[in-house]
Amino acid sequence: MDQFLQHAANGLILGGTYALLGIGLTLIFGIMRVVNFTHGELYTFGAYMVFCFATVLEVDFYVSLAAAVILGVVLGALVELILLRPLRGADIDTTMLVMIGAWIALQNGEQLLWGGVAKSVSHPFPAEPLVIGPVSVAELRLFVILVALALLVGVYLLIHKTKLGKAMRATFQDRETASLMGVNIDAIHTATFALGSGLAAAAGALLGPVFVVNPTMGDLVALKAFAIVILGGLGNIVGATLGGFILGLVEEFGACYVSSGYRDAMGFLLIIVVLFFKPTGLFARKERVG
Amino acid sequence: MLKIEGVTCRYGKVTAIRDISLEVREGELVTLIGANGAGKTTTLKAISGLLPPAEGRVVFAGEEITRASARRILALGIAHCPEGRRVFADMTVQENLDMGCYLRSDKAAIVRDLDRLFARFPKLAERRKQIAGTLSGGEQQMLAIGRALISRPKLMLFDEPSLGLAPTIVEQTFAIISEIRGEGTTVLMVEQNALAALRMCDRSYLLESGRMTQSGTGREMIDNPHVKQAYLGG
Amino acid sequence: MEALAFSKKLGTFNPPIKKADFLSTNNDFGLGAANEFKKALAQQGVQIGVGEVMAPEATDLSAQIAKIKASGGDTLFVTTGVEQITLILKQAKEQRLTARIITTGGSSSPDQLIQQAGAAADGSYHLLFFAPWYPEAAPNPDVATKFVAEWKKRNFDFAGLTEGFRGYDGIMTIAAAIKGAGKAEPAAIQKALWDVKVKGVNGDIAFIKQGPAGQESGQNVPNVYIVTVKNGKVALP
Repeated sequence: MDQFLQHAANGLILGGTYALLGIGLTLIFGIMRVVNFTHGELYTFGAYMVFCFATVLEVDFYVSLAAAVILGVVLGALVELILLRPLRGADIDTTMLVMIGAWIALQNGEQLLWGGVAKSVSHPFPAEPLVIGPVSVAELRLFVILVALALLVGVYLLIHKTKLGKAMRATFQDRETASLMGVNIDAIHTATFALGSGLAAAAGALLGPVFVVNPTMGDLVALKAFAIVILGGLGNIVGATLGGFILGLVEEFGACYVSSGYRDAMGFLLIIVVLFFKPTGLFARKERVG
Repeated sequence: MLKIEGVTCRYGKVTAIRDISLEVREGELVTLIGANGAGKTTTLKAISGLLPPAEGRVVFAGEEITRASARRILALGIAHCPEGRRVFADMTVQENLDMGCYLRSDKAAIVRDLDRLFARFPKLAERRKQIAGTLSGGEQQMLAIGRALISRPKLMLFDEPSLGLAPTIVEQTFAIISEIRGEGTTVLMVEQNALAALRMCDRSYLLESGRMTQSGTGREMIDNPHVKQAYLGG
Repeated sequence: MEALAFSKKLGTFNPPIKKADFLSTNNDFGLGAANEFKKALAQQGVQIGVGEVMAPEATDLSAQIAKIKASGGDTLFVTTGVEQITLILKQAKEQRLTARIITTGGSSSPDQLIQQAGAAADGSYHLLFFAPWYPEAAPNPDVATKFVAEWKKRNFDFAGLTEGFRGYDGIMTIAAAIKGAGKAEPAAIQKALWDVKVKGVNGDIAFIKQGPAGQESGQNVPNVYIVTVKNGKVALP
């Protein structure tokens, strides 16, 4: 039982950050129909930014986090403006190839700038964990999950309660009619990509200090984000959130009660099962953003 | 108010309309009739900025809008109520109307306009929080009209408002369009139901295979032998 | 070979190792080492607990660590690269895993670990094939001291020494074989390798035949060094 609780705690914390990655990707996928291969690199970028600010420049940790997210938003906007906007209307193969190219270029850029040796990010939290009954959790991880939850709620409110969010949902459902309402579709695309990128950077900035930072850290993570998007249903933010938590828990309990050797395969096994029985994803009534 | 001069539109290499010219004067209700695929919808898209013309000019209220964005054209006062209603199916009735107010920022006036809209369409008021996709066809049509109307347009474009609706609802829809026009909004309507369209309009244009072939007052068009034979069932 | 050499040094540990758990990277390097250590330790009467694995690129190992904690062994053998070792040390601390952690495979670069994992590295043990902090303790102190001095003279990163010596020993071994063969022909060099005796940084290098007759592989019994981290510094246990 003690072990069960510890696993549940681990799984939930992990799931929160998966959810963060998932909603960023599902938004971009849903609204722009772009398979964003740079998602993992934005995650890596966020982690390196917090490393640069907090560890190299010794800026306050929280300021560093905020800066990393803002720069992630900026980088996302640039990728959209420079690479994706000229490709509007191009076929999906072209867009995919360009995004794969951007992924490789970004990853190698990171390697060039910071080298292949992993970096540790300094943070103000104690190494000693917080002990609650049989469960011990690092304070840093608690901080990460709290910020992740806050961001998840924030994004939900943004999509459902703000004018920008409504315009994004309208664009997802019917681009032409949305433009008849006066929505600037180009601006929505840039905003969506920037927001999704910012969320990936936030996940990287939060997890960088928990783990270590290296140029390929985003690869496995991006793969999992794709799994979450599929699990939750295309463009479904609530689905991606739940999908993230489900993946975190399945991995954690799968590693414990099945075999740790298949831990990272668990998620993909789950996808196969879900797609077999419900091809539109676990939470999709139909395609939607919201 | 609206003047189209020699407009040609293409989808890729396919020419959908060729050398179309028409005019809508302030306060008029003008209809565009013709068979399926004659280019009626394309003409409306050319006006509202969804499909900028390859050739020709579109002028609205003295300003050339040939290559203006849909957003700019809406801001100038042209609202386009698209074919098939196209409500945002996963959004609530209220959110759909919010989208109609997308370019407006005069909050107090929006509240007043919404109250008036709900008075006109009590069904929408009842279903304010309901997801638009769950509304009946007639209710969706009311929502689509309301969504266009709430932007306070000077000119409203209607594309096949009767399409797929029950006869009583069609009558109701035409009545509402006449009412809107009666309140001073200029209307340009595309309609396949030629007789109904010609009866309610001031003037009408006939499109055939992407070209403008006939025009005249509603009465003149009804009496036009070609129109009569091809579109009014003899 | 490493496991065998290690099992002769079990006396180094106090309290002694009674129950061992394993956490290894999911490839030949990790799984092979875990198997060899399990065999060697079982022969010495050590109880074997759980054997957990992880993908080489995995970053969150909390599930594995929770399971290892539940197993309750006193010692955890870890075989993977330095980055994952860093993560394991940090995450073991987060979950209050009290077992003694021993890394195998010589891939731990303790200096890098101390830098990356900070306080979490304290109390961990590392099996190395060369301990550059103590070249004088090597079986061939003159070779080891000279090698470290040259390394420093060239301004190479000190942390790289624990791996870097492998290249040196390897090249010296091949050079000796070519000399022994007297000509640069692969078959002759291959044959000469069996008779090579080199004084390397790790220790004396010579090959013994292992495996089915006719297809034996050459194995060398390496010297194993155990170092530990105390107060952020590498120390002998």
